[in-house]
Amino acid sequence: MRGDFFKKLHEEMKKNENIFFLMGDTGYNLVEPIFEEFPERTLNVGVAEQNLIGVAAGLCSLGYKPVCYGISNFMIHRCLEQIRNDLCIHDRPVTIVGTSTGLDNGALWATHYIVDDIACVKPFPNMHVYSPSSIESINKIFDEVINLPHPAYVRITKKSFNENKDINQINHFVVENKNSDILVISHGRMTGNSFDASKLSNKISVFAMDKIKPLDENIIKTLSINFKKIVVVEDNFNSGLFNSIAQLLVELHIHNVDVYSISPDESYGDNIGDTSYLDNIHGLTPEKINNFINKL
Amino acid sequence: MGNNGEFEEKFMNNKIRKTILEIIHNGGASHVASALSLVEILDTVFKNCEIIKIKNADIDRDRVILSKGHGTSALYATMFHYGLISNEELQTYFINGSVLSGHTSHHVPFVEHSTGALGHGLPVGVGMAIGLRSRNLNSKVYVIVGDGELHEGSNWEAIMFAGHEKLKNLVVLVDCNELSQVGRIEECCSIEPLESKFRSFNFEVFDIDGHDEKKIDQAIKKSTGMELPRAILCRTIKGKGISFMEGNNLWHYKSPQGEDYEKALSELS
Repeated sequence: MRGDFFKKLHEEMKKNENIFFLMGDTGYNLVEPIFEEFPERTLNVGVAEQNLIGVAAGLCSLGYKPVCYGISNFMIHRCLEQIRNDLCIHDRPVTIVGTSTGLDNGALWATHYIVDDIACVKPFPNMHVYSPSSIESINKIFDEVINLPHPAYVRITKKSFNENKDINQINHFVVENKNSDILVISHGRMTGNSFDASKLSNKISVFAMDKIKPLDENIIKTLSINFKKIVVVEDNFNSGLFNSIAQLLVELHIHNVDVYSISPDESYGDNIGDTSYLDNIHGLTPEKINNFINKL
Repeated sequence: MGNNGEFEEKFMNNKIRKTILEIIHNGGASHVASALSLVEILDTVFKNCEIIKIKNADIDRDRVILSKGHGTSALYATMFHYGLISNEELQTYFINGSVLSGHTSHHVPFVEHSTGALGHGLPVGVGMAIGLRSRNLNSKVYVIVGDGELHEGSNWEAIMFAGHEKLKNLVVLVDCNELSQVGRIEECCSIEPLESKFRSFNFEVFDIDGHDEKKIDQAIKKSTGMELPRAILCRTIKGKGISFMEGNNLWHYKSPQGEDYEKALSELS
């Protein structure tokens, strides 16, 4: 979905002269058109993510809306203190777009795949966290973050999923099965897998919770009334969306819904593999999601 | 500058040093020696800024970032003497409920960036300098870093990029007081030779006495025709101005109280 993001970014940079695009030397064959068209509002700072975030923070002082792009591991872990101090403490409107999310880079192993990013940034005040499930969702999310006066992290998977329908909200039903009392909530690449799982069974509905922070309390309340079981599927440790939903349900004293997590175990593992291979190991394939649900 | 100017300068610096001592003493705070080495640097930097533009938050204002945030009492004291902080606000330094924290906070009006975690000010300053250039504004960005702070790798990412971008509107002033928290920087992890390091990163470099305002001012203003960022290596003494604090790392943390405070004040009269 990276291409879809850059298409949207290019359109927005034409309309909004305050958008300033920065990258840490990532995006070959994607970034060139915007660098050519907007040389005054694009920067490749090189492989130096701490500097990247600091420079973006400084640009806010001149009224710019910086959008930083890179592989998620380096955009989050390498410069976590810069994100906390230079962006979140100051509440600066910098958008971090991290690509190669979840197990996308599984074949490159744990230095390059990322299953622990959501929990890293979620506790920071002012930070907003998004994980678009589809091309439609990317466009919707970008419309929101470009006007957001706060820092944001948008994690974009390499895999494309097209819902082929208009969506009114960032958080939305992908599959709404009125006969089901089991709801799968997912985000990012896992929504495509959950959608495929729904085709194997008529038991489930699928909801894309693409805005992870702040979590929409009203939606959680409504969903917990309409469904008896919620299964959170994510290519992230369960410290991600599952953790947020579980915490919110406890805070709201909602006890009438069972919540389950399908996510990678809290380990970096020893073996490499592509997404299909690793999804299978972690129970994230459509078939395994369906099997999990059949046993509930 | 004539004798009269030098007298006024020393008088001002003494006033700033007294203010530093006073607020650190009243708040029971630390880092007095780290602040005292900064006085002439900060005073000269603010002299070179259009204060009215800072007060108005004009987009074309000069920007000052004290990256070695533990020297913040010197920043607040200097800002007070330039009319950017009221006496009432200043006297809350390090007191419960105050926004004048022990490390620099942007919640204090006219402070550009919160620092204290080292290695943050320079990347942010580089971003400001790029932003000013992109907006076709001629103002400057002054970033003051500690010599010990230059151990942080993020500084060198920013220095490399500033040199590459030829950010002539960026002035980096290094408070070279030769001491970090535990001891001498040379004994811990040498950062010298700083002059050739900065030069190799495409900076113009001035190596001067950091307690001589005239030399700091010349280094800021000197027209060399080179379109490069500028590094001013200010050779300073940690604890400058108070005989028993000079070069003594005990005063990195120790708060001047009782007889120590009275003796320190008397040395500035």
